[in-house]
Amino acid sequence: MPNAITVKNFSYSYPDGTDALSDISLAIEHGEKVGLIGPNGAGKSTILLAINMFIKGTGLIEVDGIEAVQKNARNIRTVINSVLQDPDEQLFMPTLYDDVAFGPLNMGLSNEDVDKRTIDALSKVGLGGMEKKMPHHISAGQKRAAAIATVLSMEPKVITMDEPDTSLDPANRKKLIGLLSSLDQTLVIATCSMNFAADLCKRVILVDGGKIIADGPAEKIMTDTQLMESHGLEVPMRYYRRPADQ
Amino acid sequence: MHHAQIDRLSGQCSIIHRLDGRTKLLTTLLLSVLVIAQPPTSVSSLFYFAVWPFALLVLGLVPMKFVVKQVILVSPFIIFFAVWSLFYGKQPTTVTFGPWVWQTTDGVLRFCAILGKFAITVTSLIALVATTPFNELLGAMSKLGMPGILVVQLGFLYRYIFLFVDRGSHIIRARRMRTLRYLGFKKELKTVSSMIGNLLITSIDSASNISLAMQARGFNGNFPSTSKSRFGSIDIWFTAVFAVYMIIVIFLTRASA
Repeated sequence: MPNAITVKNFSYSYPDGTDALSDISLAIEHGEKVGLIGPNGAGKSTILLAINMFIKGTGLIEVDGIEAVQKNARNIRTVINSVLQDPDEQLFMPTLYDDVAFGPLNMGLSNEDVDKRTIDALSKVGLGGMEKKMPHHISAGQKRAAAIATVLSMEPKVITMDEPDTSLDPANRKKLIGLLSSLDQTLVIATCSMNFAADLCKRVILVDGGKIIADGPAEKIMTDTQLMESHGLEVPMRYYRRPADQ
Repeated sequence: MHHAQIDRLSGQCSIIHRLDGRTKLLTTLLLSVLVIAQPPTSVSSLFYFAVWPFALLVLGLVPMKFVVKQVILVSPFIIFFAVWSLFYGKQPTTVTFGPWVWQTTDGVLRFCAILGKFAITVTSLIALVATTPFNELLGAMSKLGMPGILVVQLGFLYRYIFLFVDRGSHIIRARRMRTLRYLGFKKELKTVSSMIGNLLITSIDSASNISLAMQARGFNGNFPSTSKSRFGSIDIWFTAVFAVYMIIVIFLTRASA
């Protein structure tokens, strides 16, 4: 079985020549929940853009064994999907139903299948019965959940998320962690929130300056105070030990 | 916010809400065309036309206070144009209304007719949007053959104008928090230009992210529709009543001319 995501020697430079990613290589297996951690401007979001085929660089990217090149774009879209940082940019249709149905309709499914997938996805994220709601009339937590539903309705194998816990209160953050933990899909989450990554992911990839600095079990990397602090990060609360405990 | 109130009103349940969006859209357009086509000094005939939108608002459970507020809110623009007719139309005219007879000028009649036509057409539009959820209205436009790109543009406008206004007000607030004195016209103009530029750049940024979200969900240039609206017997009855009403109004306006 191919990896969910394979990236080999991938590099990308901005149009002005600045290197954004340098010789990135990583492999993520199906079902893994991986956190891409790093300071602002480290290249986390750029990695997500690359594996979603939104930018072109040099090197190889495969999603579920399909090479991420233009001729495979349609197949790639059915395998991987992404949730953007700002749900208002993800929710662009007049009602939640229309938004969640947008993907399945573009996949060419029958109206019955579209209806079923839409209702199922909304129920899964706890928005059942809110099909006719307009995106500008729901709370930040509900918008986040709806944004995830827009992707779930397409039943992708891999979901990428950029800073999914931005502007969520603790209760909604907890709900989101519960929801994401319950998903069977492979999740790749770019975040600056160490607590969020530690609560959700068993594996993290530390990125800084467009390079992969460390890749391994979350506990091992995130408890290395020197490593974390040297890249502008902090040890998350769940791994924090008082000096007396050490 | 008016946006929110219109959404709330359009989500109510009434006989008018149950009508297909196409029926309401077509009858509103037809009524507007007929109102605009009335002679420029014909004021009395407008009263017959005003009955229809008034009936829709009552049956559609739309509060009159809300409608009057909206009409007043957009009226300065049309008043600005209508007022010029007072200066150009100096021809004396006799007006009769029941037992009352008085002298005026055709400019005054034109002014009243413009305001009357404006009030009726705007009220009809409010009746339409306050009794039809926007997605159904977009679906109706699409089914009536309006080009897809225009329907999409309208949908985006409706969805994002709210955010745009919000962002604009945040920028204005940020400026006010740091404005302690008047800096002179040139500097103030420079600040306002920067604010508009900032809003424009964030909008372009959002637009490109929305485009990414659409591509990620397989968008290929065609907007698929999930509209389930159907033209039913209630629409046939509504159209028939509208047609009879229009025939009567046209007959009455010709008789009074």
